[in-house]
Amino acid sequence: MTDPGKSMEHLNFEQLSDLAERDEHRNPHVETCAECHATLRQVRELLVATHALPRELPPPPEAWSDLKARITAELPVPVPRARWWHNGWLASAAAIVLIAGTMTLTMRFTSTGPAKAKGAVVTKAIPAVLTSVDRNYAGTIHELRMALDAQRATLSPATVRTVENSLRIIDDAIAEARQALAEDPANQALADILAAHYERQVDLLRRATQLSSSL
Amino acid sequence: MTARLELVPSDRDGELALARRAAAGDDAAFEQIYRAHSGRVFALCTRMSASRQRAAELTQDVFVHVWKRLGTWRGESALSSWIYRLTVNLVLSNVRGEQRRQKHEMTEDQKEDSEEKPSDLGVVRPASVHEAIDLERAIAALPTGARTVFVLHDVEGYQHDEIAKMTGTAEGTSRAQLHRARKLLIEALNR
Amino acid sequence: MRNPLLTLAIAAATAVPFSVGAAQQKVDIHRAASPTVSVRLNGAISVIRVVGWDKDSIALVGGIGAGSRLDGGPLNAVGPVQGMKFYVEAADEAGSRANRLELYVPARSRVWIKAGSADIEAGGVTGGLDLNIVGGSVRVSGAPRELLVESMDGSVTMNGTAEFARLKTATGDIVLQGGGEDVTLTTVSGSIRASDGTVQRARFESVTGPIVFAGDLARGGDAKFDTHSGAIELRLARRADLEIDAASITGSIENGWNSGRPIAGREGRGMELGTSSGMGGARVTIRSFKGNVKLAPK
Repeated sequence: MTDPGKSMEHLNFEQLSDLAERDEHRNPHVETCAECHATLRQVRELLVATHALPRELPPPPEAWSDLKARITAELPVPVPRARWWHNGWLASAAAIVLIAGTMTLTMRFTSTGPAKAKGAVVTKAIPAVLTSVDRNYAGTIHELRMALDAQRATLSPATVRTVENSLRIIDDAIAEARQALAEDPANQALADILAAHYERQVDLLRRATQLSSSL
Repeated sequence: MTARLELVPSDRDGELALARRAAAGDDAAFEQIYRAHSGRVFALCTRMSASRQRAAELTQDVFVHVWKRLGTWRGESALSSWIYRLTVNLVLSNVRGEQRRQKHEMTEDQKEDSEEKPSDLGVVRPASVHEAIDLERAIAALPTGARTVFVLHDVEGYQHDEIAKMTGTAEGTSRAQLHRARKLLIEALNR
Repeated sequence: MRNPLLTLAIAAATAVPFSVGAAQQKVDIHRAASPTVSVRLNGAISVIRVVGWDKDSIALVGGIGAGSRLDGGPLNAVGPVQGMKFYVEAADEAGSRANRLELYVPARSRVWIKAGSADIEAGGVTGGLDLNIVGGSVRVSGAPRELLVESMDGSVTMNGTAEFARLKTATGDIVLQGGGEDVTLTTVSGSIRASDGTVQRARFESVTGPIVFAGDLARGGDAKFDTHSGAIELRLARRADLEIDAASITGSIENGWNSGRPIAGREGRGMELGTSSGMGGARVTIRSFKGNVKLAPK
């Protein structure tokens, strides 16, 4: 039997919030109080809306390639990477210092066997432990350079010069770091530096490809 | 978002086999795991951090951790549970610094809460196609502590005792933060 | 580039005047807005000033030049605006120079701007700022929760504290006068300078640009500096609680901050330094290929 005195006491928000989670249809006070009834309904509607939120949200399109690149950088033994460049965009005079692995764009972490260097200009053999890490970066960089080349006409000459010069600076840094790494393949600090340069290159290329969209 | 490559096997043996292959360096297996779980991980990171950019970075951190520790998962729980628990722990440690900084701001928020404000009790907001967007925005605008508990409890389904353990607080604190979050959300959505 | 939804919104939003004209026209748009409204502004604009204010409304004022066109509007036709989008078109670069706008937004809103060569100034916004230019400059003040700035050769200056900041240029200089919870400053050949604030987690990255850090690290903080050939200089408080791990592959390391002595690097090339002071509360990692590293007292 309900105590008439008690049924007049409003429930505070916390009590109504707790009540909303329970499948109770009857609460003596709420049944007779418009204010508490309305608040309870709001909380239940909030919970319904919350449960209807999508369980998944799509990550950015480049998330997978970024993840691959990062995992590549975390691998313990540095591996010289294949360097791709697209003649249409950059007629860079920088020489390819090391070319490792086969010239494919297949994305794989694990090696299918030791890669054979092609046209290497270093004196030491490329380390035997090899993954196709290079090809991960190479593929992403190649795709981005092609996309950039397609948009070149939409950018001002000054912007093109800035981007080209910056990419050339990074290319030169990559070449120097790779040369050093080939001579000292167990140097983790060098591996960190080289990975950072590749990430900077990918980031700059991505930013440059986005310049003309919505401008 | 690209289409899923293949369905992740729902049975535990199948999951174990997939995880073993990924841990051994099979990138196709790892990509399967990524495609199957990245959407939910990203959703959790976005809602907990209230920033898509940070969520993208956190999602990447999660899967680097998954890649590094996949060999330690023995199938005691579902792979999804293991990944999401890892996600929550990582996001919480990232959010903890934010909570320390916002301690002062929480005082201001609490003052705001206690002010007498006219409320639209009895006004029922009609369902609309924008409702989900409004709610996501409102969640993102919550103070950190309240947002954390709201996402973990009302969105992800964790109980207060679990949340208390994960956040290093008391169950009572978790309940209080949840009520605060719901109140703020209702106010925001009914403005 | 007309969005049918926007066209509908423009037709419905009768209070929003837009100029279509051939002559210089004044822009004066005002709308009630939600406190966390999202505003996008892009196109051929040479000067943009963003002001976060304590009103629940948006105002876009200023002027656009002859031959320019302002398009856009709210994304919801009824009620306070939740999202608003503006686009400015100019006939040519000379035309864009005459396009100068001021955007007033609720302090907690999120503002996204993309322009070519533009000078952007933003202050008083505590929500989010996402600013993209090619050239020109970006100057931000205050305490935005999230600050994302991308520029090619435009300079970037932040005077204040952002909880989360990513400031990136190719050749533009970056200046942070303040701190943040989680900040990353990245350039290819511009300079980076950070001072007058405390950072919790920070990354400072360049390829050839110099990096100078004269700020403070929070207890338990973590700062990483990496460069190929830029000079790195850290000016540290004598009593700072730090643990430092520095390596330059072929460059030099000079330590005037404490008594730690750099040693020769691997195979006698370059230098390395591992040193700490106090309880080692914060961690500093420095990696340089051939840039010289210098630690000095403040």
